[in-house]
Amino acid sequence: MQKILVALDSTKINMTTLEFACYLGRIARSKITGLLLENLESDKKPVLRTMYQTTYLDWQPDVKSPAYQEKMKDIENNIARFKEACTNRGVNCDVYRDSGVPSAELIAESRFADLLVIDPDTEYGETSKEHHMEFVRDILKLSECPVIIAPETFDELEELIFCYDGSRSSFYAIKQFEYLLPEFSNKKVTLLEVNKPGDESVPYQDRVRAWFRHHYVNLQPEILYGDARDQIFSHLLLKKKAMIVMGAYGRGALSRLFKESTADKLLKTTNLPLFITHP
Amino acid sequence: MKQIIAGLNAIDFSPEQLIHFNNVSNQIGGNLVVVFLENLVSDILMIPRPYPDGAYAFNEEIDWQRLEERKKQIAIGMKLFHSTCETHHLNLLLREETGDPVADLVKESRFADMLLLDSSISNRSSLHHDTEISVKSVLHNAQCPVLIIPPQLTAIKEFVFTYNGSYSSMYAIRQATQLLEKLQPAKVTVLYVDEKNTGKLTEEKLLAGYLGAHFKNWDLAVCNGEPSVEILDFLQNRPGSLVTLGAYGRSRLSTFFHKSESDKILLSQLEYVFITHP
Repeated sequence: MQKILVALDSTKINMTTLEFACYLGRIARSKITGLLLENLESDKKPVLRTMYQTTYLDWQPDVKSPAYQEKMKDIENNIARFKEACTNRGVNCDVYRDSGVPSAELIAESRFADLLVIDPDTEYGETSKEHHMEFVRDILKLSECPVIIAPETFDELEELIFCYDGSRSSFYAIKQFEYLLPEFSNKKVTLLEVNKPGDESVPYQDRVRAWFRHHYVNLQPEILYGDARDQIFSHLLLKKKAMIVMGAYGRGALSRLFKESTADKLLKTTNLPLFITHP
Repeated sequence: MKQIIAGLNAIDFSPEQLIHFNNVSNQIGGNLVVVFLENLVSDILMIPRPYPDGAYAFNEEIDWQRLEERKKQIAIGMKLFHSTCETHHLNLLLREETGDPVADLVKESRFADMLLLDSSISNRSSLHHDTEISVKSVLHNAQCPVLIIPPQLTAIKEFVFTYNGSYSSMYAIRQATQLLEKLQPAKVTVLYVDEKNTGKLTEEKLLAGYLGAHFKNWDLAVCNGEPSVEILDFLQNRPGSLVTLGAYGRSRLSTFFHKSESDKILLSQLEYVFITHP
């Protein structure tokens, strides 16, 4: 992996997310590309313009306003902070400023990145409870590369937790994680095999474990029975210094975790980085 | 170490093909698992059964004579496989699949990092026509990237990334870059198929950013016109090329495999072809 994209709000850089991205960059010996998102749409105000002797209403940022000037100054300072933080952590970096609709910009950039790291608290526009995490949910659904939701606080990872429910998408996510971060092959690996109600065993268990043995040296399979959401949640609640790998965001049984408030609960209470991708 | 699977036709096993696959797997840095495909589904015949009133019903029955014939062929292939491994000191894992070859390969592909296929697998002289394994069906349904190998082993010297601005073409480029990291080709070329004749490379800056992060140098070649013709033309006289194609059966770039030229490409065994789709 050589291109890690880290998406940050240009007006308030989350240093823990940046720290986590730098940690991945150091491990993978990859450059970090900071994508500082500016929501210019929210700065736009109605302006009267004249063209061909006709006056019309246009929406433009009021670039002369003190608030706008202050915001630009903050962004410049944040770019400097970003570069300094990467340099201090021994990671090469690039910075891009993307103005426009943040989610659209991010999706476009994700096509040309190996991995996207985002801050779970990133949000633009609406900040009500109902819209909390909406931005993150959109990115997870539409991103064209795997996404890691960074933790709120961060310690060096000691364990990887792979969730497998027999679906194609859950194994797809597992494979993609290994391609991007083979450097974690010596870490403790927990394979959470989620049995669907009524099933006696996880589909293709022998094949799955054979694949893991080729890629990871310290594998500990654990089988969960019953309701996948409850089981995974209670299992992950006590974990620390671990990363969760999951597939099929918005498309399968495992992803139902995120369709309800459990998503917020999981991300907030466990404080574990979460790797998600789907075919 | 990558888990590489290779589908071999058990009826018509070739030691050269096995050695070839093993060499490619070594180049990629993989651990090779050979899947011996024994198509027994095709031994089921539909036998007409007449009723007294003159009507007919069809029952599925096994053609025992053909099955026995095939079992003998498979046993010869198996023996040859083991002797080839012994002679060439190959430590390979063998899996036998006795059902529908396409379904078997697709199932195995979910748990593999890459599937190797010889472009001639569906065209080898076999006992019966219905033992053919449809490369197209495998490509369409595979759950991991597929690398189609030309019959003449040449070192991979160049990556040719076909690109038309689509997600699927970029996805194939990314997967090839990640999975074939060990190959380190001397040359990397992006072959841009300018389908709309815009004269501009779609998302040029972002593409350059991605490739620049992974490769020291890369070249750009632009072609206009029918993608299939242009890609084939470009690949002429470029031995040792590995060409990436995204979205087999799901976008325009890949549709050239469905036209009459498709068989020419797959069976002419031009170069290495890396195909995957999101």
